[in-house]
Amino acid sequence: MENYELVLNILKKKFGFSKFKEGQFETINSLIVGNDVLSILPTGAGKSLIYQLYGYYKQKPIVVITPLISLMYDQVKRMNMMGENKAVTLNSDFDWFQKKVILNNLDQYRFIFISPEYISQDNVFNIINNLDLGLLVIDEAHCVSTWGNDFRPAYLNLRNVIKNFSSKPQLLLLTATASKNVLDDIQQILDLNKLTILKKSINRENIYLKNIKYEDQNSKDEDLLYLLNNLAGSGIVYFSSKTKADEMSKLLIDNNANLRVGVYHADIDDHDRFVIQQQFMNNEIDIVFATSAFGMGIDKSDIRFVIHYHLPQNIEDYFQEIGRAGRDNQKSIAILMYSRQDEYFAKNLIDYSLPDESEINLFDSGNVISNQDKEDILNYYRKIGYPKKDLINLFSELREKRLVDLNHMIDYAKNEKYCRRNIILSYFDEPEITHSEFCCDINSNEVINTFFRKEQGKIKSKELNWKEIIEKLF
Amino acid sequence: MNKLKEMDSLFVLFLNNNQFRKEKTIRNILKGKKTVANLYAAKKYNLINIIGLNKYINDFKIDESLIDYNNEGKIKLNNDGQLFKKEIISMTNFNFIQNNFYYDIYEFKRRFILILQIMSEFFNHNKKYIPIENQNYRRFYVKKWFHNLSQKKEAAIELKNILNEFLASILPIEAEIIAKTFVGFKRHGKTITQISEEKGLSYSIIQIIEFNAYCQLINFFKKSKNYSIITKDVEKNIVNKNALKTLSLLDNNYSFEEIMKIMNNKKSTIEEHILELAIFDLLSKKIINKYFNVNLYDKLKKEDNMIYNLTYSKLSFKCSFFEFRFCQILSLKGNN
Ligand SMILES: [Zn+2]
Repeated sequence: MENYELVLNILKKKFGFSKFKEGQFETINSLIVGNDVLSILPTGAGKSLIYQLYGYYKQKPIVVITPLISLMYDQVKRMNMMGENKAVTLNSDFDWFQKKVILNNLDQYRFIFISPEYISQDNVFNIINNLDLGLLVIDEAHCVSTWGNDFRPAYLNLRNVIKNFSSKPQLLLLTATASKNVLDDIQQILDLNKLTILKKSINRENIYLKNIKYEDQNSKDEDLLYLLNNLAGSGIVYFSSKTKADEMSKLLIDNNANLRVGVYHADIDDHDRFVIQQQFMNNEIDIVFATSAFGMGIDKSDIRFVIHYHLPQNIEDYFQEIGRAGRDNQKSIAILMYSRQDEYFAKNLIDYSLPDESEINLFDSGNVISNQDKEDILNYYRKIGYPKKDLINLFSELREKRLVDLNHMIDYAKNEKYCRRNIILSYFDEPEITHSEFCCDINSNEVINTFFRKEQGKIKSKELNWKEIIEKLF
Repeated sequence: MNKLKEMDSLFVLFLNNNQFRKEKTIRNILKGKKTVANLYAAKKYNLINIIGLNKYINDFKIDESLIDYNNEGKIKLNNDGQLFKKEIISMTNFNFIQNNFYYDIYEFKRRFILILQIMSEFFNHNKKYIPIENQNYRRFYVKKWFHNLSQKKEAAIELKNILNEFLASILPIEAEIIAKTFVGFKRHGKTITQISEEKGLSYSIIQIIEFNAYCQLINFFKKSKNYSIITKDVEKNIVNKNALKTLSLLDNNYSFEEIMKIMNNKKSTIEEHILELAIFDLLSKKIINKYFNVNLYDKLKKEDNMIYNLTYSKLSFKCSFFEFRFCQILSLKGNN
């Protein structure tokens, strides 16, 4: 309890909150006792607060290994917003000179966000090794698992990184979704046998689960427009294809000029991404059409609906994405739009992302392969000296795993019999719950209309002229 | 006007209705390839100002219905193309596009928006906001500037005045569009897509108008001491550094052979320097006379009155390529 008062005080002073979210204190407390901790918390549970607060408690620098560069920047930005200026990122965005400046001054920072590739470089590692770390955080720890879709080869090397510290730092591994397979992988690959595992139920009772089946693309498009014209509050629509996201956004605007929508995907430049995120956070737009890139760094608590236009690659991804709805614990809805063709599309995506034997052979004999992502991943393995034969095996295994995952997802999408929530819970090895009216659309009289707006359509705010804009700015 | 909503084919801007041009060459100019051959083509097509424009706008589409082909596959505008080009040019002021040649407009815009945001939030006493800029180096750079800025409030008012003056000076549609992209206190700006939907104009047209507006904005910061950071080192290297060294040696009366020795370059490299310098009008009369072969020029004129249209490999006689290209460049100036 003594610890509780102490960290609660830091929470109030540094973050302005009066209580912890579920799982936060348990994790911090376990760290204070000295454990290496693997904490499985649902998205939106405030994972970054854990290591930030522990950093203040320990008064020592903290290194956070993060897979996505955009995620790093988001974290640093958020820390800056809360007045914490001693946060820095280290990644491949920097040229030699910038890197040198940061490395020379690394001891000035308290929170260092770094990519797994970067911490594996000798000169970078040596400096970090000399820092007297308070904690080494591995964020999105499931990326180490070849089982998952987010698998990042560079995470494999973290095992060596941890071993090479002259005195082993305390570890915190964080992840939102971890089935038993993934958990086993994490412990085995990183060679950590004394991990304290903290797991909160990932169930999100306030999100109603609904699937809708379509015979053809047209009826699906029409229905999406219908849903968006009627659903209340803000929402995200996930697409697996950038082109389709663009196309549907145009269709929607032509169809109802009053709906305020933004598109967010890899082809949108970072200036526009900022604009869309901020507009969404400030309720200036209601709907974001996105590929999975959207939402990783976003913390909007009143998202009322998440729609999947395409079939997600696996249940982990699906669950993570619908988890962006209803963080304020208010009633929200997740809709999965399913049609037969989606299966082929999803299978193609797997082929598209993984090099096959012929491509590996091509690459091995010095040829260029047309897909840049595949080229990058093969280059990575070449650099770490992975033999060709193992590589072919690795990728064919990966493909198998992903197909298995996809089949789980397809089963989930097709299911018209079992409680949807229980299918997901059992996938994550969690105990069954009792299905109720407000759980999912299997054996439920809950009608979708309860999620529709009561008031008439949204009204666009008046556009300002340039004089008014300047007056607002200054 | 309805046409403008659909029209995306802004490649017409780089064509006219009397000169057949090679699409690939123009694409290379847009990409900013600075080989002598490419620079020469840019000069020949009068497109020096758009060198490297792809950094700001990377997609220029061609609409087949607006162009004619010749038997070499080169293209020019037909009547519809000419009309469409006129329509676009009437919407925005292209006179300042030359700033694309002197400045990195993209870098300028990024820096400007970040500074605008910082100053606007500061003016409104808001410290808790998410900075728009992701790139650490720009953030470091601007942060340091802001830290050292002595009279911040006055500087904020100066910025407001500059913007008011600037927006009043440009075309109304340019002012409207660029102001929508501004970011600051309780303003998150609009994306080009959103503006294009709002205005009922195509994405490309909004983008080129926005670009032209930024080209004009840069001039308003050249005078300001407080904001010299915005224009500082966003200047482009117009000519490559080695060519400039060659120029200073030429100006100091060194002979060709001496220059080769000092620069430790091959003959062809120094020749390329001289051609590049000639393209950008950096050679003095004296130096021009030294390398200009009058006899060759007259001979070429007999082959084709428009020397710049000649192809070296198709000449009916032999001569040095360097001298040939030098004559061509001078013929473009028409001041012989
Ligand atoms: Zn259920």
